[in-house]
Amino acid sequence: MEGAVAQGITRYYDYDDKKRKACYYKKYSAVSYVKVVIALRSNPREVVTAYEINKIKETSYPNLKRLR
Amino acid sequence: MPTTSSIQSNRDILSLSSNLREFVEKNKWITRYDSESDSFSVTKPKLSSDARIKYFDNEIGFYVTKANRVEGIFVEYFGSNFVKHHKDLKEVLKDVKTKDSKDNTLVELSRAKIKKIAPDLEEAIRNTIAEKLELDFKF
Repeated sequence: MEGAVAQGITRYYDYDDKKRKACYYKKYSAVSYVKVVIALRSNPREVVTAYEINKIKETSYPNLKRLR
Repeated sequence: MPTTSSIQSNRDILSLSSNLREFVEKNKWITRYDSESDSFSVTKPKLSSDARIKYFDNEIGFYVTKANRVEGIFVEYFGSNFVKHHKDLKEVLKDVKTKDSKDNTLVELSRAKIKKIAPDLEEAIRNTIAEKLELDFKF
């Protein structure tokens, strides 16, 4: 899965459930991203939710690690 | 020069910030909590296709259309962040959280729960408005 992540996608652990979910952001317009929350333990990966948003909320949490 | 539409939209935000419960009931907006994504929303029954989530500060996102009309509010990490900072709301999610169940994770909140949440949401919306206000003092 790690190698399959496309360029230009920023990933964070989910603040609510770090072990089970991850958040994927892709720049969508000059002012917005598409956010997709993925269930990590599902195979194939299931989408929990997805929407367009102008901010990466996870950057507000200093203790929340970015997925590399 | 603000348009009639944006003035109405601003009025809606002010109404939400001062009497959210009354506004929601009067306009038949829908209040939902999604336990799977831990998100909370108060929206028009049917959002416009061009409504997008937009933050003006850190706490609350607004569903805003291209015509700058506000059609709802959205709170990410509602249980794990917002409620943690508003401890009196803890009991609101007690019987709503159904994380173990894969079915029906989207729950419409009762009027009693909206009444409980409303003051904290109103305060958060007021804080957003305060942050967004650009006062032009010219003496």
